[in-house]
Amino acid sequence: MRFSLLMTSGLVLAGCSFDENLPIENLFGTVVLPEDAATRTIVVDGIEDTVTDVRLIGPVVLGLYPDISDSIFQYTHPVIGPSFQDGNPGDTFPYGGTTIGDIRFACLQELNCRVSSGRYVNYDEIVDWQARVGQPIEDAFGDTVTSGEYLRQVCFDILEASSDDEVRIIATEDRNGDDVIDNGDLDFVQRTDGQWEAEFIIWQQEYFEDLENGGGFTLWGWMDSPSDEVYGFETCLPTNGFQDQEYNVAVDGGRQGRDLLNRPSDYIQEGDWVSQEGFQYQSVNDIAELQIGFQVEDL
Amino acid sequence: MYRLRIPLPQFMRVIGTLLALFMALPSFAQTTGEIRGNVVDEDDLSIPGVEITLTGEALIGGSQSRTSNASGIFQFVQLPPGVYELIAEKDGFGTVGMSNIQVQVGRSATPTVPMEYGDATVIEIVDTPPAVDVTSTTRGQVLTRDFLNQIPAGRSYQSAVGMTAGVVGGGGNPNISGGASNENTYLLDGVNITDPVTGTFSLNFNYDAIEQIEVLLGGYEPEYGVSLGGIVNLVTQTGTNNLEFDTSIFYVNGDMRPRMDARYTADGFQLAPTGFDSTFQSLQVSARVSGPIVRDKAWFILSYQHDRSLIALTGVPVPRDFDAHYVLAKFTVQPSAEHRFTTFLQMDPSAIDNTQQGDPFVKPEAQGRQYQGGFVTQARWQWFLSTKANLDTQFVIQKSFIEVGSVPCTHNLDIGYHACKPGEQEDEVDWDTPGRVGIFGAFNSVSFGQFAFDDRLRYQGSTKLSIVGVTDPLGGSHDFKFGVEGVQTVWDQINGYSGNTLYYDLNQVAFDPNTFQNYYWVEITGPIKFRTSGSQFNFFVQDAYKPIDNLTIKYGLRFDNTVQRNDLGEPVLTGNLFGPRLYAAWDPFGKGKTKIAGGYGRFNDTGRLAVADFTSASSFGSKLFLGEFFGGRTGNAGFLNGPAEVYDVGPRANPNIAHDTVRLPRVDEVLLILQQEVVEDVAVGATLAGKFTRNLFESDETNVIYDEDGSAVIGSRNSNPFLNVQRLRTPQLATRDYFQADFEIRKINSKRWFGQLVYTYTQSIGSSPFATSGSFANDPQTQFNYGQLNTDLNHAVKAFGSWKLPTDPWTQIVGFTFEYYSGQPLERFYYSEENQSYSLRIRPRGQYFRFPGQWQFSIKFQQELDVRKGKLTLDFEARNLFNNRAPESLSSLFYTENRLFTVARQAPLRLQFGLRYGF
Repeated sequence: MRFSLLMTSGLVLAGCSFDENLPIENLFGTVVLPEDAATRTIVVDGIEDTVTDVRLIGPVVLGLYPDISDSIFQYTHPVIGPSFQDGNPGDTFPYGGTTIGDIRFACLQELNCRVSSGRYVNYDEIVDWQARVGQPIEDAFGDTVTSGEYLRQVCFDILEASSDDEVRIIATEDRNGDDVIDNGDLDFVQRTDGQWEAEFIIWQQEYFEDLENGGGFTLWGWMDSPSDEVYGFETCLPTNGFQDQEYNVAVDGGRQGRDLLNRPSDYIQEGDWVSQEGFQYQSVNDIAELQIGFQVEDL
Repeated sequence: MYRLRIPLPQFMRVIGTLLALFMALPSFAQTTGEIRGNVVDEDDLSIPGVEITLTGEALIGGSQSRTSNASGIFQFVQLPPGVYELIAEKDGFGTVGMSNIQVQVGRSATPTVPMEYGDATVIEIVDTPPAVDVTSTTRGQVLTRDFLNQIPAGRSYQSAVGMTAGVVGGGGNPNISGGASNENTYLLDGVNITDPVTGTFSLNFNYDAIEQIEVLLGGYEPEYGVSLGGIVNLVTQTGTNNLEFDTSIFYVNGDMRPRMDARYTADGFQLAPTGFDSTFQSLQVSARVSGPIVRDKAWFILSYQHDRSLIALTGVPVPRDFDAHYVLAKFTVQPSAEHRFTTFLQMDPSAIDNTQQGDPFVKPEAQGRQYQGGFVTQARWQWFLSTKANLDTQFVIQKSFIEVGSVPCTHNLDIGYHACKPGEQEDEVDWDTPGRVGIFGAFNSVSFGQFAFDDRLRYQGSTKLSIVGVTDPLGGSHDFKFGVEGVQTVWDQINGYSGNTLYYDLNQVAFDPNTFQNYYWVEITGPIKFRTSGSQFNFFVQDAYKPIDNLTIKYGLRFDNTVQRNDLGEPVLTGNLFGPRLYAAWDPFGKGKTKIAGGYGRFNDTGRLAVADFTSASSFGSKLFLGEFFGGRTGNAGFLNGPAEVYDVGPRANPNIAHDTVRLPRVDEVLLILQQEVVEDVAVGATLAGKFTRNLFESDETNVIYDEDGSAVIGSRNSNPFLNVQRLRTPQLATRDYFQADFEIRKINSKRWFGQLVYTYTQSIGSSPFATSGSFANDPQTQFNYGQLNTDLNHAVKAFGSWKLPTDPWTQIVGFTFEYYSGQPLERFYYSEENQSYSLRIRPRGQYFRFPGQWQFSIKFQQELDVRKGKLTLDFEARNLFNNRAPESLSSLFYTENRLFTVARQAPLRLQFGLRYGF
């Protein structure tokens, strides 16, 4: 019996839990853009129209860096490592990051690098928006697309999808719980003060605490504003991304650059919006709020 | 204080031997069973001092004798599986003879011997094994030779194992009790034959040489070792005092099947649904001879099986050609009552031609050839120190190998590819001609392109001390076992590419090889040669304690020390693992008809060499050459910057790393078993089991940084956005929770027929159904990784039965199996810009869809005929005589047809014809 008791005690000892010693957490937060970030004077056929619309908010790129500096460029920028080639800036060595809105191949070659997820409630809005900014889209046969349903069917066909959430372009989740999929369910929602706010999650981020060196784990980001010419995005590489391949015919769908976080200055253009002050984490449990309120001008 | 009842000098020898082996080496599973009976008088009172003499065909060394103790208990241990007889004698009580005592591996036969007063009394009894084993705490089943012979199992022990409740998934590596397909342990005569690299079975085996198979899903004792899934314990035949010979031939044809769904030709064209069919043909030729070398002292068994099968998936024009030879030689010698020596050698050399059956794009001339096989040999010494103590020691060497290369050259001009060069011998493998790969792998031509030589070695030594019938001062008795084991494993690899180059071609016109142009090509350094190794040491202590007659408490502790090293000798996986077990079986009414059993156990995973190899540094260096196709291409992302560029990306070492606190996975099991004999020899039961697996092997990404849904890379931590650096981890998020409830009714002991029907409900939720999956390699995708796993079947019904028709002297046997499974969750993936493939989830795992349920029914018919000096058996089996042809595998593999389509359905009708002669 004593032997039995000894063995039973082994049961208890063996049940110890395990700590992986890795500070990995999901980081939560919000990004706030000024109203002006979604306001643009659109000129179509010589007619000017000042528009405030969520569809003018391009993909937002968020990075976690050792520190940020306001002395490298005219806008605040993450600190960079040594540059070994003139005109080729050093690397920012990010810890991690994410985006709010992804470049999507929106099913027609004409829409390459012109559509971000989380900005449209339905396919009609994509078609209407492109027409409104003077860039009506054509399908593969050269016909102007006027129907959102047509675009939707093209998406289902080319992406082999059977529902809107599989295509991942328009809003499909009732985020605000009002039982209606509307503007309140997009990535960015306009607050009563006119500013645009979006929530983000950086999944499974390893936390590095580096406060003693004068810097630390700092969140910084920028928003890629659509270009004036075609209302496309500079962070998108048009010859990469989705490929619809039938034998030797390739359709390149475009995707975001692979070094957006490492060399943001390569992509930040006049008109883009940048975070002037980063959010420095004091704890892995901090809920970040990042203001992206500085518009880059006259580069 | 315990009285071991072993003379002190002998006991000291035991301890000395144990210590010596402890220093040098190492435990192994059960290969035997035991008889633990009791003798009672007419008033059901125990009779001490009864002389029990045991005999049996399987018992080498002649008869054995024991004397019942004060409680009337007698115990015979280390009995080879088989049927035994005993004679009980005592002055004043006469004689009782009992036959048909069936001993199964890992189980206790518990006959009750009734004696009557009176010297002249002679009683003959035919024992009826109990419908409920009231002393067993294990979850699982023992499959006897009769079962294997009478059930339509396709002469595959893996198929037979699949009839156990809680075993799902086809092929040689099923999911057992919610574990991954490579988390089982396979044992052959107590020898661990699990592949030390992959965790899968590593040895094919002669079907007719199997005596019993013990399938364990849980509740087992520490001596069985480690497994997050289940244990498949094969025990081979040993021979008898009778010369026995058996030869057979079996032919299986699966071509008589319904037409399959559409598949794709090598150029990617979809075939019409009725335009192409598959092939399934198999031939088995077997012979077995066994008998005495010296009567009662030395026995042998020699067994040979030749397997040849031609299997082509639909849409693949060339069948996979499997050609194998399985050889078993086993010798058992018992020169005295104290010592028994056993040695065996099992080999399974095999060749497989046309290995690329999973990919219909691969053209015949680019098919590969694979030689595989190996051997395992054991030397075992069983030392019976007394009637209550024995020492069981074994040393084992196992080697398995896989050699992969292209198909050999030929002078056959009709084939044309791999034409032998001047002076080159036919059938020589071409190591020089580079392979050529078309779009998406289509038009793989000229050569298989890669080669690999893979040797896996295991050296194993173990010893186990058993002491039974130790009286506890507080009452009851103990059966103790102590064991130690040491294992060294080595994995040698040589990998390379033919001609050290691989061409990637762009084909302009389908079917026309003349339109190839070089898309790009890669020159590769190599071949590379490297070694990965591991070592394990373990010991266990366990006890089966019976404080009272109707209660058995099985508890114990297993300790495993493991080190698995990468090719640099760095210890990647290390651990000191404790696996406590506590189970109990209670017969509340003491009638042998009711059992309430259950308990808790922890089972650890000691790791595999493939996991350690994840961080091996050896890797190919390469140079990328861009061909003419890129002439008109402008640069992008700094990667492809212009025509005819030579882009050097190597040589470099594998960048993968391991986190410094990687632990080893474990599973905690809780178990409850209820069984009741409701009418004579018919039992009903319910089993409830929960298995909670934690800290599975996974890897995360430490370099590239993904966008919000993981579809594209937006940055990198070390300035190279094209380099994935995976980090081996065992995160707390990597879990599996498995629940299984079985409800069964069975009759398995009848002379004429047996049958079993089990309904199983399962739930399986976790982060990955695989032992290592990369589920955490894309951070934003981790939110979708937890969900229903492929073992989340919900409902399953398994039934089997067999009936020996009473047509003596000829015997006819009819057997059947029926299986029903509700559909498993299906994974659906979406396009990833990063991977240029469909690899993203947008919903939690298991939330997309479920396969439709499937069922199948198979029958078997045997006719035995007495012929001159022997017996002839005609055997007919119709596997899947009826089934609903439900899809088992769907794919969204191909760009042009991304919509899911059926890759495989339930195996269709296969007819097996067999002829056996034996004496």
